[in-house]
Amino acid sequence: MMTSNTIAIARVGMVCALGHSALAITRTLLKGESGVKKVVFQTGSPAATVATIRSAVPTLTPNHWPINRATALALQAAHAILPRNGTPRSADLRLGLIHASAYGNLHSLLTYRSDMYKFGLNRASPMQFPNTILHAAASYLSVDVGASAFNITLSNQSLSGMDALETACQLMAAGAADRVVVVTSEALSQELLSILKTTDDLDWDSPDPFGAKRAGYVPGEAAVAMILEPIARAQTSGGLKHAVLLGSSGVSCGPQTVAVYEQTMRTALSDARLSAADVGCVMANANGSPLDEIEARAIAAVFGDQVPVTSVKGAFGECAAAGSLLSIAAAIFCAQKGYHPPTKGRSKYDHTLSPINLLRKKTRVVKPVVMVNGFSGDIGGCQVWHMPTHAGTA
Amino acid sequence: MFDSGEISADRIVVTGIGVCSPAGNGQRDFWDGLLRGRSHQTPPPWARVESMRCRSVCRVPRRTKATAPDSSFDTGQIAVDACQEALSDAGIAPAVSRMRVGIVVGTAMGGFDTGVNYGAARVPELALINSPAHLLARAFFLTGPVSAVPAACAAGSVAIVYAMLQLQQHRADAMLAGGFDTISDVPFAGFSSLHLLTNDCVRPFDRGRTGFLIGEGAGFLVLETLASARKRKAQIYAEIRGFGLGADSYHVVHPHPEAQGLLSAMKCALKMGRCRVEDIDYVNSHGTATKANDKSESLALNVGLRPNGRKVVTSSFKSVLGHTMGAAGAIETIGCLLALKHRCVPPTWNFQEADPECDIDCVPNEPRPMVLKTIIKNSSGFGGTNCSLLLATC
Repeated sequence: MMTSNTIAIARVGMVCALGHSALAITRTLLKGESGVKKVVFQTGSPAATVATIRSAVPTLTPNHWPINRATALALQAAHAILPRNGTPRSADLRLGLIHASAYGNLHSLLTYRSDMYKFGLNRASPMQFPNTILHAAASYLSVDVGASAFNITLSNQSLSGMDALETACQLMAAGAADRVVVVTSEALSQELLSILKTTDDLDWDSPDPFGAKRAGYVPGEAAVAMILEPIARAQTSGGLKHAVLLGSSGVSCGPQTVAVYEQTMRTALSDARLSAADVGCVMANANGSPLDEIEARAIAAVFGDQVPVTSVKGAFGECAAAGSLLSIAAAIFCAQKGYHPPTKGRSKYDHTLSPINLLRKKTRVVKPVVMVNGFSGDIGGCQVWHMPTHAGTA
Repeated sequence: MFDSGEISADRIVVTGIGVCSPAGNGQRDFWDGLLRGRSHQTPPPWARVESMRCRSVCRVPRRTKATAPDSSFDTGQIAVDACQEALSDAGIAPAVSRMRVGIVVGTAMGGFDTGVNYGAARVPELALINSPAHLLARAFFLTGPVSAVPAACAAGSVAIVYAMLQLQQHRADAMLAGGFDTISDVPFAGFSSLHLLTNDCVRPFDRGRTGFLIGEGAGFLVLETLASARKRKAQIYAEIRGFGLGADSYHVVHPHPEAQGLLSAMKCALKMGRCRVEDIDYVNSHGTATKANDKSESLALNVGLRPNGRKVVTSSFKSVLGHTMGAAGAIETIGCLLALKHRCVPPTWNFQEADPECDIDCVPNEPRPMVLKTIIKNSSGFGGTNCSLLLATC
């Protein structure tokens, strides 16, 4: 039972290929549009199909320290929901910060190393060095927003964001903070694309989750920031009760089999003390990769072919660490318009897969409980969220 | 559903430890190295270091035959060895036991550097930050939670906190928690550019201290609940009675001059562990031997932990280990556990002259036998991240 101490997502900010404002992103999503485009990412390189952010991204902090793109995106998302001049250190409000990333600062590291050998090891830039450390974004964010309780970084591939949300809840339950900002960011770079291209996992056309013509995933970049705090505190700070985590499977390692995926979903339901019939929608991990088939079979085994299933990765691309938080944010804002978002794809549902109720059009919310799936390689995790159609004040 | 301030009552204990470090590999050699001040230092293995002020790094003295799960993960062999030792020490064989074991790996540079130097071109998966955690999980047939905590130089300690949360959420029966980092040219040149590396030996808290040497290493602990350990009749090194996190929210590379984050972390650890300041027998400091860190850490110790005017007993293992970055928190925690076991505090080596700005009892140059019951282990990192662990006999 929810009480005033129950921890909820109270604010959400995001930057992605569909835009910067939650309202605009929600409208575009519900129209079934996609942010995926063919882009020449770097002069002289071939065009790549990606979901990239085309607006200007700053390269310096306000006090002129150079920052990389992932950090800049993270700061943009955080500034959408927090004051730029930080939160004053106070015993009454211990603010924690968790940043999550899958690929982090690959571009910074490679550029730094290249410059280091070009100009000499003893002429390496002291101001660029922090950008090579995996904790860079959390460091800049922490100073920027005034985090006093903690600042940590987590990485768990495309489940990083889910992991960060749950860890934030656990740390607040343990009394380590009164409010936590969770930020995930992932930035595209030519270096990352070069590495991803070697996998043969990319779709060069457009993403097609669960579709008959799916041929892989399309990489994307995005940042999402969320504030978690107890409902009572959100009430006084003007926050909303956007969503409450009801249960989770945690993030575990295991083989890529239907049985493992199915068990992961059942564990999350069991943790939430709910049954499959209580779930109003499944936000699938599906991005057009070969894992779609395993996920479809597992969803069919747990939920049958009636529960609505959707994936927003056709619209956002596969944004790695930011992917799961984008799914949660999309589900929250669409639910507040009264709908589940549709799955953007270029072909019909692949009927060689197990039958599921894949949404191709926006669909009215009937039950406010959403399962969010995250599967990546041989790690997986699922979370069950309560997402009311009217957030109201908390 | 999570409620704020709802702390799990499960007590968490350490039942296995494994270490590879510049002081020695395996807990016996490691302990001997700490007591004798043995440090394996070599010239850096990279070209063009002649112009550098610092010309030494701390290396793991010997390598075992490669057993890593992927030949591209050869830099991670020290992590494989440390995990193997910790699991054997705890009497756990995940491949055959029914225990659900998870892993969390702290690293400052490791995941990326492994990917960039050795694997990314051949195995794109290694470009992911969490690849070491993933590969270790695969190597030891772990099916529990898996994650990476790249929280800069506090990562090893924060990984232990993450593991505690997983156990208290009953996500696993046991957790391997620790950190690893290998030396590489990027942190060598980067720390050097910030004038943090010494051309002398590492002299924590000494008036003439000039910085640290970077080191490599891996340290892993097996954590489980007290109930589980008793049921298995496992040896118990100590209970992790509490933890505290704190953020400076001050500067990306400089510690807060009044160590606000560290002070807050120590206070939180004491509060969670229901301990008084008088109960603390020894503090294992972060002690990097930089001017700023040792001064602010000494201040925090004197403000936060000086009962009745008595100087708290403190030492830094970095005088022999160098700064093992993301592994430091875990390796040094293992040193603390061995100190509890052997009733002896390893000294701060290379100490010559007291610094009035570091007014602490730093156990200079000689091991100090003493009955130890409660220890605080401090770790700090870039971005002002701080973590204190409260270790106590069980």
